[in-house]
Amino acid sequence: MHRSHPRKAGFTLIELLVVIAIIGVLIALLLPAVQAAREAARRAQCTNNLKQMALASHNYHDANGAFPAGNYAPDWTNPNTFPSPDVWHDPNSTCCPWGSYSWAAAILPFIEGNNVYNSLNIALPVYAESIPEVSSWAGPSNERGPSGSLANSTAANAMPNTFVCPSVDRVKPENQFKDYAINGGTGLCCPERTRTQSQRQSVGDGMGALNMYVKMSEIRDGTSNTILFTEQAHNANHSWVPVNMGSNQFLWVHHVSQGYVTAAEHNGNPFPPNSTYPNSRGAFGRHPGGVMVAFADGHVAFLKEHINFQTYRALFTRKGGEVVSADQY
Amino acid sequence: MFHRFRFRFRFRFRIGAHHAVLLAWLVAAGCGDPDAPEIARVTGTVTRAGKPVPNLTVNFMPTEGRPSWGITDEQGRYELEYNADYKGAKVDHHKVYVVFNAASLDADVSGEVGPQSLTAEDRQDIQRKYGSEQTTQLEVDVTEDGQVIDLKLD
Repeated sequence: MHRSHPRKAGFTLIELLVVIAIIGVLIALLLPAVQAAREAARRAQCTNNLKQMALASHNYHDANGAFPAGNYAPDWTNPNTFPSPDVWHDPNSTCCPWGSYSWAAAILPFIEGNNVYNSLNIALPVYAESIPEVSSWAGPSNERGPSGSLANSTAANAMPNTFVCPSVDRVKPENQFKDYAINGGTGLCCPERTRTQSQRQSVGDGMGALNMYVKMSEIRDGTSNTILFTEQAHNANHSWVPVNMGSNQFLWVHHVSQGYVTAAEHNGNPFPPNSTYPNSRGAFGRHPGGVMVAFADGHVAFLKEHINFQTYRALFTRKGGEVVSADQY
Repeated sequence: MFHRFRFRFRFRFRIGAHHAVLLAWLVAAGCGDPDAPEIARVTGTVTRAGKPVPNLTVNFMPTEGRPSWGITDEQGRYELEYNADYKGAKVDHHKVYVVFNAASLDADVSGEVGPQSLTAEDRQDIQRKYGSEQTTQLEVDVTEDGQVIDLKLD
């Protein structure tokens, strides 16, 4: 057949640009969906981690008759304490513990961390390689580590990944810093240093405090209405540790930002979920819109950032007597 | 060929303009948090006897919902923050209470507060009248975006 108009093969520039634009739009539509699916998977693993910790605490309760203490240390005011009382309190003050053991050490045998647990010598203080803190005690380096007993360094650097939330960007090694914390109550000063029974009576209104072992029967508000563990991302705002510096060591506790969350600061500043307050000791996760928590009955829930603060605080008390229904959060 | 080019160009442009509006609307709708309550930006100045109060945490506690916070600067100005996504406070009736910030961890342990222009007497008075959520005498309504709420702690 005779061709009067030989057409050239190929695309015009406009056609090519249109195709590129269409592909661009399609990718732009797809990308957020893929990212959301990846975050959903990370959140599912985070949920699972909290569930494992809650179940481990129940097994601990079965074996020992009470939930694990928020942290453990011998009495550093007793001159007979082994090896010496001075190694168990902050070198600058007898106010605070130093190298005390967090709840994470106590539940290790119940989350397949037996080998790590057996490598601990609990008669000696625990070890931490890095102890970030912005204070004159730490000086210009903002670092108080390494400190503690070297005998326990093996365990301190072998954190099981159950304590790692995959949604959290690591600013500190994931074998040394955890992303979860125990409920330290509504915020009276200070759960990590309640040395006496009378202090624990008032300060220990949550599930964890120094040497405080809560029995199931002591959760008068009901185990399904009382928070046991929450997220506390290691790179969040902590007390005296600004955002993205990192705190919340695996085993080490000398201050409230290590393994504890509270509903408010002792001076009254409230800490709603994912609070941006610079000195926050509150629950903080890296999931959009809220924070994951495990309740004392073992169920795990997602608390939205917009939760009514009175309800949120009520979930931190184990015998506050508040009336909270499940549709409030 | 020239004719075809012009036709396509105009066709694409018209579709583009039409969809740009739709896309902008979708993006704007998609970024907002559907669970968020109505939130209004709030700024203001904290004074006592006409003088600014610096380094003070201002807490706005709504009747129901998430509280907001702000910290005053040297001139006593604050801007409320709701969460990482929103500045401001929930549109609601708020109890307002203030907290003097400790300057450091060691000051926190010993109970001292940061450098203040106020006398210890003034601080105690503010603490007594406005220092706690339960007993504060300061209550305000957050009603509109961009609201200025000056707090006189007299």
